[in-house]
Amino acid sequence: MAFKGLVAIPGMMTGNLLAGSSPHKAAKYQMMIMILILSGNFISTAMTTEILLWNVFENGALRDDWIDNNDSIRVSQLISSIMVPWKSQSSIGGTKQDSESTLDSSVIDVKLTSDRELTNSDNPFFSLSLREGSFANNKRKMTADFTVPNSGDIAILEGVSGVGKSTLLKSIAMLNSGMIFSASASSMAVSLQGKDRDSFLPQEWRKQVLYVPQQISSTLGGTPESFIRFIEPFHPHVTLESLTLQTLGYLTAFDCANILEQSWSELSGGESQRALLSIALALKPKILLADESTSALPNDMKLKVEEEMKRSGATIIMVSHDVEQIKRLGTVRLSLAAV
Amino acid sequence: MYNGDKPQHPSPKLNRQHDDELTWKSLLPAVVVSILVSIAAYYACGNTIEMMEDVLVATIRTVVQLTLLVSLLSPLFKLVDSQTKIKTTKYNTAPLLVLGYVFFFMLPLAAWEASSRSKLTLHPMSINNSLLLNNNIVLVIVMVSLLTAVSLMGAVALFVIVKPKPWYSPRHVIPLCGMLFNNALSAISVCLDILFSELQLKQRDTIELMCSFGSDTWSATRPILRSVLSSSMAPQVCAHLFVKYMVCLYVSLSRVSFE
Repeated sequence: MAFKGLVAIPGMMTGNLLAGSSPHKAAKYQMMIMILILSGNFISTAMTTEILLWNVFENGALRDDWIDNNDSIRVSQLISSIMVPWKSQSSIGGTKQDSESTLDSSVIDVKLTSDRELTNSDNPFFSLSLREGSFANNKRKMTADFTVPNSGDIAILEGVSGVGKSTLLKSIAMLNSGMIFSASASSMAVSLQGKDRDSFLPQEWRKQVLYVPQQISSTLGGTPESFIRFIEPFHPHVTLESLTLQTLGYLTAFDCANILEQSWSELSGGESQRALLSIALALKPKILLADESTSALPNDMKLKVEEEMKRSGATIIMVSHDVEQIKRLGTVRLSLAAV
Repeated sequence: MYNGDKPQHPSPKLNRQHDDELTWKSLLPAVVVSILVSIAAYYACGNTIEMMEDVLVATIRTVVQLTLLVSLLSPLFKLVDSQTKIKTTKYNTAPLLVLGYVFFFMLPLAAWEASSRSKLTLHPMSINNSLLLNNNIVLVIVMVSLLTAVSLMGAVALFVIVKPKPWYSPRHVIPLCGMLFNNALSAISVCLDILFSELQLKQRDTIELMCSFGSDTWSATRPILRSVLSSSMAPQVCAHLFVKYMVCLYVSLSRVSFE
């Protein structure tokens, strides 16, 4: 485009010149169409992207499982299949494959057991009742019933890798966990302080029940400080100063006060875990869902983090594989296992 | 043939004169050239037929497709010309025909091609909508945005800048809209490709992280919108800084202050 007009004369100008217009008129036409094309492209791409982005979210969670391969035939393919049928057969026919191989119909039941008896009498701080939520491409079914009785309890969720611990935490936070409730018997009811989850907007619910992932994504730009600035407007009960100060307080307790201004891509796994956990603790959610938030930390640092967790008085549901940590920390023990 | 800057109304005489410049017979040397090139390609590619076939097929396709296009366009041009000459104020179907060609022939084809070019596509499984809409949601969205963009920009060109007489003059409307459609089509297909791959692979966890820390979906998707817009506009933009400025203005409406 920067080269345009030096050697190659652009299309509309060429047409005008060949039809007998003066170079002036041809160039004016070309300028007009250039500007209109740019504006038209901008309008159409922005509109397409924006409307598609509305449609790719459900309940405020990104449904990346709705994005799949495009097997619709292109117009150009259609035309060449009409004009040169011997050549383009392979590109149209025979590419369809059944991706849903439902041959293996064995479904594994996953059940959650708690060391506390289910007490229906008193009003628990948090309770969950999940019936046959199928996940992992309908290969597994989860049934769970547990309560976290008091505010300030720390529940530890244990289980072998891949059993569905993250799935459970994500579906509590209304994120896209891949869990489907299609069968008539399947249902999920979550309540917090006696209030049902359905009475919250998804975005409001996630502020109360904050899910902290195990690792940050590699494409997250900026620094922990800019992340705080980004999320602060969504939490009206905190100010930017208090949020930054409290995060800094936790980070100081975790021996890494200097990482606030470093970019996420420069942080190590343990450092970014501590940064995320500090921000999450500073936001003071009703329940913190910590997905192996101490897995990349050394033992002495784990002790410090646990100390801060206890001191903050936050109610936490935490996934952990560390036996020592489970003994030290958990007031409620939940174990998820295949039956 | 120099006519100055005066707007010239094509008289039938002039048209014939122009048509005489290039006859079917005088096109034959071009075909001969393509045959010679295909023979050269046959030997150059180590006596394999594939390249030769490609060259010949491309030649045949160009001839056949453009002949078909002409057989569609020239009756339309003739009809509109005759109607504007007679000036039947009562049954003037010409504007309808021209607009019908643009919005019922060009638009669906452009939307179909743009939505089917990307490797990935969207199939929302929500129960509320109808199945037909769910399967073709990208096509519908692309069609709506193409319609908006081209009718806006086409209106600017026809009613504000060029002002042809009559306004529906097909020799203005069809090429202008054709260029707008074609460029918007390629921009949209790049945009879809990047949008879906970013959503599925690169930005997925970032968006989830932002959502779980309380962000709304609009703010969480601003970085993705920025990267999609700048890369799908890149072929046109290059030296045109004002579009970059437009993108920045649009994105800076949000509260995102990343990077």
